Amino acid sequence: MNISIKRAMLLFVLLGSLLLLPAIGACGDDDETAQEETAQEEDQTPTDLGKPVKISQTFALTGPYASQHKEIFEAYEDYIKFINDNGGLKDTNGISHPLEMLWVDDKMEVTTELSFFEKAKADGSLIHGSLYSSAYGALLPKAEKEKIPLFCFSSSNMVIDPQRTGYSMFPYYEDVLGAYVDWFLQTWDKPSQPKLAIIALDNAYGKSALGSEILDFIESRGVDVVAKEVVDAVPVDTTANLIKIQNADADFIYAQVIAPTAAVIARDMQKLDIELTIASPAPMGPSALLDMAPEACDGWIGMLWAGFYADDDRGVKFMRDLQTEYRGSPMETDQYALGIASVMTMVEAVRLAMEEVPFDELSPEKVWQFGINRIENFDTEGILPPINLGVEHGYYGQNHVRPVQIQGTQIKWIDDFIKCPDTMAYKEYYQTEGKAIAEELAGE
Amino acid sequence: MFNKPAGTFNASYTKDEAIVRTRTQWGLLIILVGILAVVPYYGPLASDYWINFLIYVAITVISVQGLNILTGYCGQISLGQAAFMAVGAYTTAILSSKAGWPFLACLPMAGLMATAVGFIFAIPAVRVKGFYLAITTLAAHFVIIYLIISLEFTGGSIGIYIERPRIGSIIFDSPQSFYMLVIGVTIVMTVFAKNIVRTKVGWAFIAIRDNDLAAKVMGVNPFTYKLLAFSISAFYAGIAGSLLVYHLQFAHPEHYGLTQAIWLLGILIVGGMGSINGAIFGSIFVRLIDEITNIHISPALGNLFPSLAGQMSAALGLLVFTAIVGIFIIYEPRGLSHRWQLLKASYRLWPFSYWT
Repeated sequence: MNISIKRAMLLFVLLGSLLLLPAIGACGDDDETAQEETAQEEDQTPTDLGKPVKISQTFALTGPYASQHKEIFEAYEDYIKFINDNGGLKDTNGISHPLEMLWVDDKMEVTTELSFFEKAKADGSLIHGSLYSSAYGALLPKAEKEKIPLFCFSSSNMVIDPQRTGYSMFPYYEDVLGAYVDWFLQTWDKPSQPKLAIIALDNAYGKSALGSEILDFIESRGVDVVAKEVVDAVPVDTTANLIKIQNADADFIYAQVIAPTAAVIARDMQKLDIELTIASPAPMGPSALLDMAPEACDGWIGMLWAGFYADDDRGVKFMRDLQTEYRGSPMETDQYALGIASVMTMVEAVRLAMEEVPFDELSPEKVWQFGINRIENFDTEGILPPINLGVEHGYYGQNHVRPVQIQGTQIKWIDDFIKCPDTMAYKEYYQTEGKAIAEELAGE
Repeated sequence: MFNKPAGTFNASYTKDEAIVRTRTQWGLLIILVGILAVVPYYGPLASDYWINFLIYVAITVISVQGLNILTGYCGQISLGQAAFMAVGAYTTAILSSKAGWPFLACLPMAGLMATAVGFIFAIPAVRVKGFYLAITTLAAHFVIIYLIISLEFTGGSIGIYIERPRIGSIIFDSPQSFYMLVIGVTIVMTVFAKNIVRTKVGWAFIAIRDNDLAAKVMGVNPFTYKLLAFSISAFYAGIAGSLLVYHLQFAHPEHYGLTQAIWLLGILIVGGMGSINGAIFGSIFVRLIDEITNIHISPALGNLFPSLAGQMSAALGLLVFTAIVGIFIIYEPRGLSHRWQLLKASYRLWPFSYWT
C-alpha cells in the first residue's frame, strides 16, 4: 500500500477514535449512572405526551465562564426534567407535551452562537436564550426580523437599548452598582466624602461599571470614584491594581468581575493586608469564590438577585428539592438559582402562549405575542421578586438585589431585597421610546 | 508539465501563465461557480442554517488567504489577524452607522484602514523573527482590542449595530442575497491572492520565507517585502472583518478574540501553508468539523450520556480541533492542499500512477 494512503488511513482512524473518546469515557461508573438516570426518566415520563415543545439556550461550558455556566446548565436540565415529570406543558386541547432543551457550548464564540441560533430555529425552538451580551447583540437583529423572543442572562445596558424582542429578567449591572453605593452609604458615618474604587473586568460586563451614566450617578450621591482598575478575566496578579487603590485611599471597592478574577483579587488583598469592604454583582458568584479562595475571601459581599442562603425561603426549598431529586444532593450555588429563575421564565412564556394558541399554530412570534407580553408579576417560586415583561408591564423584569456576605466558610444574607435605583433612566426609556419600538414591531 | 494532463501543451507564454489553462478546467470552474450560485436556493444546503455556515466559511477563506500570503508565502507568523479583522469590522460599523457610508465605500475603506493599522504594527514586527515575531503580533492584537474597548467612538464594550448592506436600491437583507455578495467578494479576493503570488512580489515573498539572507543577497529587500506582506494580509483581514460585521449586523470587541487568531493559523496549517487552495480546503474542513462536533455531536453526546453533558462533550470541538492540527503537523505538514495535489497527480497519470 502507498505510504501516503496509509497515513491518510491512520489519520482517519485517529480522528474516529477521538470522536469516540467521550463515548468510551462514559462507560464504566458513569455509564451506570447514565443508565440509572435513563431508567428513572422512562419510569417517570408520562406515556401519553404529544410532540415536544422546544426551547433553546447556549452556554459557555469551556473558557473562563465555564464554572458558572455549568451550574446554569444543570439548573436548566433539572427544571426541564421537573416539568416533564409533572406532565409537561398542556396545549389548548389539554394534551401534554414534553419540554425539550436544545443547547450548545458556544465557547463564547459568536459564530457558534449564530450557527446554533439558526439550527434551533430550524428545529422548531420557540424561545432562545443567550448568556452574554456580545452574542446577544449579534442575535438580536435576526431575532427581531423573525420576532423570535430572545432572553439574555447578561443585563448590560445593551440588552435594553434598543428594545426589540430581547429581554433580561435581571437588574442592570449599572443599577446594581448604584444599589451597592446607596447601601454602603446607609452605614457611612464619617464626615469625609466616601471614596470608591472600581475594579472592572476587561469586557462588556466589566466595563459597564465604568460607563459615564453610572459614574455620574455615583458622583451625584456624593461619592468620589478614586480608582478605576481594569483586569483580565483570569489575571496572574492584581497587586499593582490594589496598590493603586490603596494609594488612592479608597474606602470601599466594587469589583465587576467573575469568580476566577475575584479569587486572585482576594488573595492579593490578603497578601497586601487590605481590609476594605468589597462587593461584586451576581455573575461573580460568592459560592464559586468560596470554592476557589476559601482562605482569602472572608467578608466579600455579593449583590445577588437570587441565592440559596436562607433555609426557610420558599425558593431555596424548591431548588433543594430539585437538586435532591435529580442530582442526589443539594449543591447550593447561586448561579444555579439564576439558571432556575431564567428557565422558569422562558417556560412560563411558552406555557402562557400554549394557553391561547393551538399547538399546531405555535411559533416563536406567538410566544412573543401571547407569552412574553403576558408575563406580569410572575412568581419564580420566590427565587426572584415578581417578574414583569412585555409592552404593558414595563419590560423591566425585576430590579432588586439582595446582599450576601462570605463569613468564614458560610455565605449569609446580610440584608433584605433592595430596589435598585434607575441609574440609566431606563424606566422613562421603556415608557416612551422602548414602548414605541415594541408596538411598531408588533404592528408589522 | 506536471500540472497538466498528458498531451496538453502550451503554445504561447500567455497560455503558459494562465490560471485556468484547459477547456476541462474552464468547464469545471463554470460548474463550480454554477453550484455556488444555486446552493442557497436548491438542494440540501438551501436553509438559513447552512447558508449562514457557508457565509462564515467564505469570510474565513478571505481572512485565511490574507494570512496565507503573510505566513504561508512570506514565512512571517502572525497572531494579529483577528485584530485586523476587528479594525475592518469597526471601520465598517462606524462609517456605516455613524456616517451613513454605503457598502461599496465601507468595504474597501475597511481593507485600507486595516492595511494602515497593519503597516504601523508591521514596522517593529518585521525587525524580529520566529517566536519574537509571534509575540509582537500578539501585542498588536491586545493593543488593538484594548483601544476598541476603551475608545468612545467605537462604542466601547457596548458595541455598534449596523444595517444590512445595500448597493443602490438592492438591499442584501436575505441570507441568500448576502451569501451571493460574500461569495462574489471571496472569489475576487481569491483570484487576487492567486495573482499576487504569481508576480515578482510573490516570488520575493517565497524567497524571504525560504532564506531571507539569500533573498537579500539576490536583491530582494526583506524589510520592504515583509512590510508589504503584512499590509496585504491586513487588507484581507479588513475585508473579512467588514463582511463579518455586515453578517452579524453588530460589532463587538469580544467577537475578535485571540482564539480566533489561533483558529485562523490552525486552519492555514490544516489547509496547507503556501497554497491558495489550502486556504479554501482548510477553511471548509476545519469549520465543517467544528460545526459538526459543536452543534451536532456534542449536544447529542450530552443528551445520550447525561453525566458527560456540560463536561467532556462540551469541549469536544476544542479537542478535535487541537487533535486535527497536531495530526496534520506530524503526518501531513503540507496540509490538505498537498493531498489534493497527490490526488490530481495520480488521476492525471492513471493508469500509470507509478509517478507518485
